[in-house]
Amino acid sequence: MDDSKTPFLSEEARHNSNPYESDDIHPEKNHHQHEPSPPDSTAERTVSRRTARAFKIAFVIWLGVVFVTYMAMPKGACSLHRKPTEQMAMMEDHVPGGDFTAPLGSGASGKLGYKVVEDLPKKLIPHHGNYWGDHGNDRRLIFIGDVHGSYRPLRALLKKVNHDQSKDHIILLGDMITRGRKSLEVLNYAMSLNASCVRGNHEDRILLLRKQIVKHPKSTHELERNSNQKLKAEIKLARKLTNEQTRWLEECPVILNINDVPGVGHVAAVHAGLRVGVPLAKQDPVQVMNMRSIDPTTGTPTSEKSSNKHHWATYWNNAQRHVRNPITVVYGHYASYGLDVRRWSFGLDSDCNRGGKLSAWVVDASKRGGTIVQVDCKKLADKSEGEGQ
Amino acid sequence: MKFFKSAFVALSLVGSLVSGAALEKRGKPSTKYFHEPGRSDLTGHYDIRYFKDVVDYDTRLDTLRHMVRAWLQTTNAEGIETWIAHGTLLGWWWNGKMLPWDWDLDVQVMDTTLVKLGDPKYNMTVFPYTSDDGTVKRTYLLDINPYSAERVRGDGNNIIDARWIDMTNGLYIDITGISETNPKEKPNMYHCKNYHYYHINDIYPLRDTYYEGVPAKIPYAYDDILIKEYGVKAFTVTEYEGHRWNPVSKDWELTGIVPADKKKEAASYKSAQVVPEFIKESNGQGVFSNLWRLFHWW
Repeated sequence: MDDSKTPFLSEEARHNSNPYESDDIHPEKNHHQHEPSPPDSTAERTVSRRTARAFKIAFVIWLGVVFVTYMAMPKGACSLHRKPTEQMAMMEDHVPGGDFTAPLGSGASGKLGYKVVEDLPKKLIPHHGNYWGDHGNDRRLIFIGDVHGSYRPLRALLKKVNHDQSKDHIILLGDMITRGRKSLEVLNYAMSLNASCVRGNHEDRILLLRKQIVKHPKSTHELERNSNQKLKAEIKLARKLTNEQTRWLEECPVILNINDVPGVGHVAAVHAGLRVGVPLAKQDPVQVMNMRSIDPTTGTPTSEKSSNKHHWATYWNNAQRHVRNPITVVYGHYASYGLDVRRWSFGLDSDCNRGGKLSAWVVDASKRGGTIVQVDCKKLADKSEGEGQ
Repeated sequence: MKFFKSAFVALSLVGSLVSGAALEKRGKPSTKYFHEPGRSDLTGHYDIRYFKDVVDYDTRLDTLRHMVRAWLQTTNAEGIETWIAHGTLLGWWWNGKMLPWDWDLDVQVMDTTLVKLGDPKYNMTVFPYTSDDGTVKRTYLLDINPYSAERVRGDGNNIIDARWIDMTNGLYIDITGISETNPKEKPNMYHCKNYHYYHINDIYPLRDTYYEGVPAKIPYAYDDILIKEYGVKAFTVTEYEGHRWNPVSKDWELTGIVPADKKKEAASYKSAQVVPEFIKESNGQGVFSNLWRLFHWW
């Protein structure tokens, strides 16, 4: 207020420009004392309370809309997540634990006339007893890696495990013939013991040659003349096979399926390996007999040798962690890795015929996880043993 | 008059020079034995002697199917050893049939078999064919390239050793032979004339199987061979050249989608009016859909 407008007020009064103010020396202090004192940020507090409420209401509305729209939308109308590819949707055998969507039904599956899976008869499998009168049995399973015609090491190994024909069942993991000098002895011995076998890539070659010899003897002669050392030796061996031996080898499945092995569970015996995410019956037989590593970009098994990171067993073991009923694979074929024991895979090719060891995995009901037994092939080999027959 | 005379002489001189130069450039006639009407995808896959017109999608597939059956049946009957290779082998891998975008099929033989095929009993002989149900009757010419005696690439004009030609429209199967030309430095390595090398143990022993419903043979290590030639992607790519793999029916189906650089070939595809399918992104689906996505932001 302008001083000139209030001529009647005293000088003190004029100092106090506000006529409603109390007559005091420290008007500001008193002003605070007498009136109710809200906190400093009154305005802000009101604002924040309002916004908080607004947010709460918005949140509730949002929840409501979410709920309503979710319930109202027909299922599958909108796909927020990446739509499964047509392949996955149409794959009737999509097995969890698979890293890659394999185009099933392609490759050698079903086209080359192989017997892919065979179950081992239950009576041969060891099992625990239980409290309800089942005494169990004391049978054993002996898995043996690539023998490659090393007859003496095989006999020595069986002696070392105290092989008892009445209780033990031998499973040879393929490649029992070719390369070594005593392929036929090994074969005859295995047949006499009624051993089980799994088809290896070398059995595959010999059987194909055998078929060719029988069907086209002339062209095989021609091939023999033009071929290299290895092929010549294979043709020679294929000729020496009897029909009975051929039949026995033909009967070897690509995958030998063994359920309920005590301490291990579901076991699959193969020659080279298994592909993740594909049921046993649909595995590609040629891949099962030859694979060593997995191509990282596509998940395709190849026979190329590679680092451990791309070893098919690395992929396999990683996948079995997430599978409800993991399968333990027993295999041979990959000699450069030798004896390779992992949680769900047992590699038993320790390169016997080239001076390494012959390995066996012995499983029975008493010891969980079984035992590995090995013999040294170098000491047992004949002085002249080596490549070729 | 004098001017015209000198001009005429000058012109004729120039003319002779030019035509002489032209003749020099033309040089020797080409050494290529097999001739095609053109070089593009559309016209480069016919034999010029029997070419009438560019065929459409269905005729091409039908011709090739019967042709490969005829070849396999004839070689089986005559005891000629052959196996399928390259794109044909890849088609076998996928579903035992040919890949529908292939223009020709490839089979291979050993070079010793080529010598056998050079016999007048086979070479330049017409083979009749009747399909299983008796409805289709065709004739095929087996033509062995005289340059097949040369087992190295040479000038590259004769990398195909023989052809099995359908005489109705000129489509053919390429037959190539493999031979070991360097036993000292590259022992056991057999190769065709187009830079494909194979170890003999990858080819032999051959496997018996079926291709297009007929017994056929394939190399022993077919998967290694296919991976080496086409890469591992050949086993996993399910959309190619306007076709899509259907895992239920195990067939390569024609989609309507034509790649931009293959518009011309689209003319030969089954559906005459091929309109590229506009693939809608999910973003363009409407207000409510987007609102829904907004609310269900996770």
